[in-house]
Amino acid sequence: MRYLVATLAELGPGSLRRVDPGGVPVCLTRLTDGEVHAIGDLCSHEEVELSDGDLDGCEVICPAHGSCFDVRTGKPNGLPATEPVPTYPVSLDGDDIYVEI
Amino acid sequence: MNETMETVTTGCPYTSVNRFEDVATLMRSKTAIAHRPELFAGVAADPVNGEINVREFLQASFMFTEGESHRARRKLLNPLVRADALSGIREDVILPEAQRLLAEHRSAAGPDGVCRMDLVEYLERVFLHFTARLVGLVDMESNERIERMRSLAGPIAAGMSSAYLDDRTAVNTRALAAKRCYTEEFVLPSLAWHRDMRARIEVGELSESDVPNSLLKMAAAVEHPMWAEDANVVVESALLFAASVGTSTQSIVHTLVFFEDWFALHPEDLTDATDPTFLLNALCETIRLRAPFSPYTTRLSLEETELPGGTVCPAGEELHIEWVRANRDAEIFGPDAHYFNPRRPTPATGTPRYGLGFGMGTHQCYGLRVVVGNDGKGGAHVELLRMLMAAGIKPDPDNPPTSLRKDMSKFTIEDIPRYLTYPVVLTAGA
Repeated sequence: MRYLVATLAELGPGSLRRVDPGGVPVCLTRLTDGEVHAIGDLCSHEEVELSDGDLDGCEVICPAHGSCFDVRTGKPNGLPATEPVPTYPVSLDGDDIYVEI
Repeated sequence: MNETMETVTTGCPYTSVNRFEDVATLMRSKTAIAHRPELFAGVAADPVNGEINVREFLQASFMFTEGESHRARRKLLNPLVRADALSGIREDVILPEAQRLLAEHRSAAGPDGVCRMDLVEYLERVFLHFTARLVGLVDMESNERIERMRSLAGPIAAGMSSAYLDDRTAVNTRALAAKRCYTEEFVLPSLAWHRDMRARIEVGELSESDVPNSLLKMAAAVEHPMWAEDANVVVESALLFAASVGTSTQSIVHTLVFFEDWFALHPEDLTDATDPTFLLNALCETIRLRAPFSPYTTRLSLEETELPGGTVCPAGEELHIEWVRANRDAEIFGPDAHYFNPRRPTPATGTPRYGLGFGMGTHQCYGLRVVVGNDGKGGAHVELLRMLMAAGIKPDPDNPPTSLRKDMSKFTIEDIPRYLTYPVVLTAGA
């Protein structure tokens, strides 16, 4: 199912935020080049909210223990996480951002 | 499961948690437990010394704080141990210093032609350089300043964990004196330098990238309200020193101690004595069996919790988390779980080789990536082990090691020495 979760005006380049389409915790990110990505918001290491962390390039950094996840693939790039987080398809319709769950 | 793995509720006013699954479940709970400095400091057993430990060494650190204050400070400090930062510190600070010191010792053979050194001193000096960079201390280039800092770091670290040590009053007296010197000679001058840099950044004379990131740089910018007070910055930085220098040094010394027996029994493994994977597995074994080089750590039970093994932790109960006992679960690590085995197969359960050696949950060790590397293939510690093995270090037969005097009633599974000195000889050339 496709959910309207935010607008580009609400998600500036290089920023991230938590959205809950259909009750699923999602970390929505917009890279500095404009690409928008959606990954699961709970770190696969200790279930900490990734949207509380920082976006550095293509990586979200978990605020608790510093695990890094590539927002394009959900794969971990740094310990202590070793398991990926889910990714969700994103589409744009004008200024609106949709996430498919 | 053998008889040492059960969770025991003692007759004392605390509960020991020492089954692997119980510890993991409890530590990952976001509501069941809290870190309390007064428990770690043993205030109930010794209010005078315990309160000194809490007030002077523990409670201002993010490591003994819960909730938003902990989360916010940890988030600020995490970039200091990111992959790129670690790589820079390892290549620019740790390894050059380790090589320089080793060369110094090699060039100073005794009258008998033997090169000797104290391994604890050597490692502490190397890791002091690393942690000084992390903290942001300035004027740390000379041997004299590092040696002065080393003379203070040991007593301060002992003061932080005096609850596990013998003669707490004497330990605390030395720790307080060392802390005063550390504050006046190191932290305050460095903080003044960072405040000057901050002022120059704010007027545009310098850019942010001109000053490497560090705790004191962030403190000068008051990036967290706790860092507005110098006294809190002193405690925050001192605990980073104790956690980093102390445990790093002990983990390498203990690995080399384990190797003495291992290579005697398995001489065929000497061909891998400088192999990074072999060394990393050995280091993980040491961490599994010995970290955090204390018999347990404490938590407060916040709500009644029944653990998978059946133990009930009542709300308000003091909990003793016995990492080293939990890490000997034969179902996870095999029937020889009590023993050092760098050839141990990777646990099939997905459990890392170091088990719970870096802790788990909110307060999982800040230095995990420093030790095992961002990619899990080994950090500076493995490279140091490789250098030391290549130097052919052996225990000095004429000078036995010395270690801190501990309160042995707290050590229920085995003695875990905290070495003060570990004299070695270098048997191989450069």
